[in-house]
Amino acid sequence: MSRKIIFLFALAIAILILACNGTPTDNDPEEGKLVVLSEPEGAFVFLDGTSTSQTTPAEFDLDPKAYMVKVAKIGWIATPESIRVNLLADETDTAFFELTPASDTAFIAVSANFDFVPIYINSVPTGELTPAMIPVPSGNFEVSVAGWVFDGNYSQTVSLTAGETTAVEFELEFGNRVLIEEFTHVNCPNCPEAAEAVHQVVDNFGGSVVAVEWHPQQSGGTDPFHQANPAIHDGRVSYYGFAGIPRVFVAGKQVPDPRSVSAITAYVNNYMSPDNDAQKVKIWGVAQNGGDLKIGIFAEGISVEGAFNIAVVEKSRHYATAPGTNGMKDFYNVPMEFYSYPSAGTLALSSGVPQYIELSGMNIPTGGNPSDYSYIIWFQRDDDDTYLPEEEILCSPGILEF
Amino acid sequence: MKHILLRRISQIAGTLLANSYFRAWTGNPQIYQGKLKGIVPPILNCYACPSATVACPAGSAQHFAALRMIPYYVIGSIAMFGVLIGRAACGWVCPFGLLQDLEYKLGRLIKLPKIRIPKWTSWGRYLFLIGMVILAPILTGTAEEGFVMPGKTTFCKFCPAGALEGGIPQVLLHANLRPLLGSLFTRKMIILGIFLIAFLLIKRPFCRVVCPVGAFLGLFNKISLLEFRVDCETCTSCGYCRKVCPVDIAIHESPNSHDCIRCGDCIKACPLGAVKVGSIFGKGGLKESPSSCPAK
Repeated sequence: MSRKIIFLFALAIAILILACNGTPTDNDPEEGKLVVLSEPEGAFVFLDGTSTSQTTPAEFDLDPKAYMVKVAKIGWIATPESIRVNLLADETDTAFFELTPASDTAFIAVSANFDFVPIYINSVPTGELTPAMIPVPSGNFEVSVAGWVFDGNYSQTVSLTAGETTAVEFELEFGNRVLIEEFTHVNCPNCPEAAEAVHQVVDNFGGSVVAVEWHPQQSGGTDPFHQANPAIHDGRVSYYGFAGIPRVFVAGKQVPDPRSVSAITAYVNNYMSPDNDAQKVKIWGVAQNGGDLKIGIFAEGISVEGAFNIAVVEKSRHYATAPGTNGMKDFYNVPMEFYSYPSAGTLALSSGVPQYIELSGMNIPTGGNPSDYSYIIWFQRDDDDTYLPEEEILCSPGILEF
Repeated sequence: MKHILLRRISQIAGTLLANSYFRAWTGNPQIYQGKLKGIVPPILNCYACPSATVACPAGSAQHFAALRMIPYYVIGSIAMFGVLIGRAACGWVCPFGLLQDLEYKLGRLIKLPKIRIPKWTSWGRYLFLIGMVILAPILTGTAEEGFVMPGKTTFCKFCPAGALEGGIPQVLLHANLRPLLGSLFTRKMIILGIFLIAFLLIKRPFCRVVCPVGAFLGLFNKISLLEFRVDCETCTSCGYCRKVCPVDIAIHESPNSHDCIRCGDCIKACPLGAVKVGSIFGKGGLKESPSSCPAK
């Protein structure tokens, strides 16, 4: 009898294991997955001669067809030079490249007073972050580092001899940065004025201010930006707890007249002061591979607890709104995804101690082109999901680009 | 029809069905990539063979292990066969089993000596299954921050069936592969050569000592729907069953041994008709036992 029971039990287990294979995956069944690897990593990936803005290791969900894959990393030679991949639906193909230093290689050792700062050579992103040892051919090169939160131009020209290592150091200084959150809707009749005011302020501050454009649910027609991810837009409205648009918040505090350039400017000036707590936390870094973030964060003169708010924004879209309302209009920095880190609890920052955090899975929308998106990140102090108008401080934002 | 003839026809049919993509041998020699390749049968048949129509369970399992994924489909498919018929596919369908059977017959025809290997060597199958099919592909890869660098399909680099069915035909068909042949190919040819010689002298040595597919299927022999029984009162322990057994077991000692490939040669060979085949739910009678008979 017991053998019969074991047989039935084993049969059930076998069926169960087979059924487990039916677990849905993230893959679109009509697409194939292409994995591009290199040793060492960090090479830019090109598909059919077009840059993907992603570096190895990288994954792509693509239509099933043939692709010519190439990788490029300054100072390195890829073997093979290119790989032709015949991608089939629902299958995974891997292209692997071995990188060897170019024969007349010299090295640049790039460092700065902060890590995770993107490095450029001749204004071309290298995919490397400080500190890094970068192999390049001998010759003259302009080495630079850059991050939105840093003021000034950090660039040095170096003359390199094959076989030698040249050190390049940068002393970076933070600038003051302010976040504006605008709440709008494509068919909202009063919103364009507020949008114009916000864009005017952004222009007036010469890039020291960044605006995020939320699109909450409103009556009067659908909004494609809202529909792309309703929960994050409506969630932000719930957080602030208001009804009706347009609304403008500067560093977490509502501007009474969202259509007034001077009113918004006054709020920005208040938070732009280096003595304001909002300027005492700085964020920088880079986005890679469709959703991996390397974030540096530094608090100076303040020790705080809070959490990152990470908005994956579509940089711009020209959209025809409903006739009789707003006509054709450009929308900027609309969040398509919104993440918090840590997802529970808070992150403690100690004054004068930089922290370097690597996050993965902060993905752009499925099928999106990374060059169309950037990450706008701000540190929300005492993140307890309760908005207190008098206490709310959203610390100096950072922008991470691919 | 004689039992052995029926089994040979079944083995040949299995071999042909598993390798029926004959277009690979004419015109454009591309490996078959159609939907049938998604079937994982309970046999060892290299899916790199140009005409292979189905997947190799060992190769598929390694593929997923190398990616650090659980091969639910492979495990479930093979387990389903195992639960229903135990290792019967080894005896009736497996192409590599057929090769071993035929070679051993040839060895007898040309009067080569027979070599018997100890029973404990059959545990070697589990070492290959756990070590080379599961652990090695996992351990030779890396996983950092959720990104997996695939490991190596270690058993495939050893497998003589792969060398015979995949390696040699691919080299014959593709002249551009020949300059690329290196130590791996040489090593595999040496391993294949050793096994081909062993097949002449030893009954199914690969199935008994190496085959990871047989190892997994063998786990189900004792509980499978298909079971063997021995009439212990009739059995005289004459040993004739062992003489004809392709894997050298005495069926009366363990009718549902994990080594038994369910070929049924012992049923036909037993002069007293003491070995029976049936279902685990069938009525065997008081005399017939699915476990070992007492020594006589």
